Amino acid sequence: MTAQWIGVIAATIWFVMFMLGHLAWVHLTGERRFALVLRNAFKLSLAGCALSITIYCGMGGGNASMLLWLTSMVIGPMIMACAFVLYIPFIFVIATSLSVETILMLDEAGGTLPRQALYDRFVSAEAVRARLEIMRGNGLFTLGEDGRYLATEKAFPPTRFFLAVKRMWNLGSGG
Amino acid sequence: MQSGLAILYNVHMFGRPGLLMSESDVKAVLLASLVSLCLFAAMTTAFRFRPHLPKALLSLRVFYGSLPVLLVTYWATPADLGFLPSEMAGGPVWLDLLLAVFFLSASYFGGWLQLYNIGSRGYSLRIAMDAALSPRRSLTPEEVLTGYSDGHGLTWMYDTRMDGLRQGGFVTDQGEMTVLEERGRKTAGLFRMLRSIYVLGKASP
Repeated sequence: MTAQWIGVIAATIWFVMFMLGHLAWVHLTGERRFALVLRNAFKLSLAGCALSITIYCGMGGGNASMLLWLTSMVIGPMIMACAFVLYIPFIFVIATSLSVETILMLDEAGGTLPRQALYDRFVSAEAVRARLEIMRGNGLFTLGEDGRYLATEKAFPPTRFFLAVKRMWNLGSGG
Repeated sequence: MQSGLAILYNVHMFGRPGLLMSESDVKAVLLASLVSLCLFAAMTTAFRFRPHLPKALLSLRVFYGSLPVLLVTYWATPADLGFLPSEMAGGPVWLDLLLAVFFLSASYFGGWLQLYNIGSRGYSLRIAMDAALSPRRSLTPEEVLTGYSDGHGLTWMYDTRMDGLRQGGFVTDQGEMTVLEERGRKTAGLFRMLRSIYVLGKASP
């Protein structure tokens, strides 16, 4: 079998295992930290992919098998990484999109709501506080005694990076 | 018939291997990475020199333009790219091409487009930026409400989301009421099902 086929087959099997695995994880354990589950499940699957490739190529032996292993180890994990970066935005749209949340709120209310009710829910200090609390849980803010949310050192690298992206791409203030 | 077989098997057709013959196993990875970097450079140029055009659409056009570039580059370059070990040749060309297109698509949809989406629409990121740029490096929820995104305020942010839902045909306005359309209802059903599969509760507003 060629390195391409080894990489494709190993990555496909282990990415399916990752998807089934993280779903089983949250269903069976009730773990609510979804990002943590995703990260750990992916790490395990990636290790599984690398191990499978190593075992398969190791059965051949010799120099040819070393090159086969090396090439498969480039292709397999790269396919998994590409599938992962396509999968994650899909999950985060389901989990955090305000547009999705608005549609669900309207549907639960029977399909019609006063516009003000939507703005009361999504444009309020309580709504912002809930988001800030999630960010505090992720270590991006601390809560001072004066009720102010203080940005931690962890918040600065991503903000600096995206400020540079905004400048480079003329994205304006955005948000 | 003969030319069909030649396309599949003839190693020397137009100086290129046939579709079932082999190319280097890592050619797809290397070429897709190279074209992806060119795609990023083209997106950057387009965003800077065409600032008034819709950026998501512009980037999508650049991506579509990069696909023929990838295919032409693939056929125009030797199997070993001039430096890869000949022992690395292995898989069929069609699989190599499929992988190259997959790697390039993933780099755009999962990489450059996400960078644009987060940079231009990221709610949490914008809050973090506002805090990082404020003199005291801190904010209260009330300050976010009025000062979000360089002073645009949170109402402006939610207006942009509602505009998107209206333009997409998910909701309409009837006087003071917002009405969910058929498309919105179907989408709500789909996302409710997905949230139950992924065991996700209500999102934080």
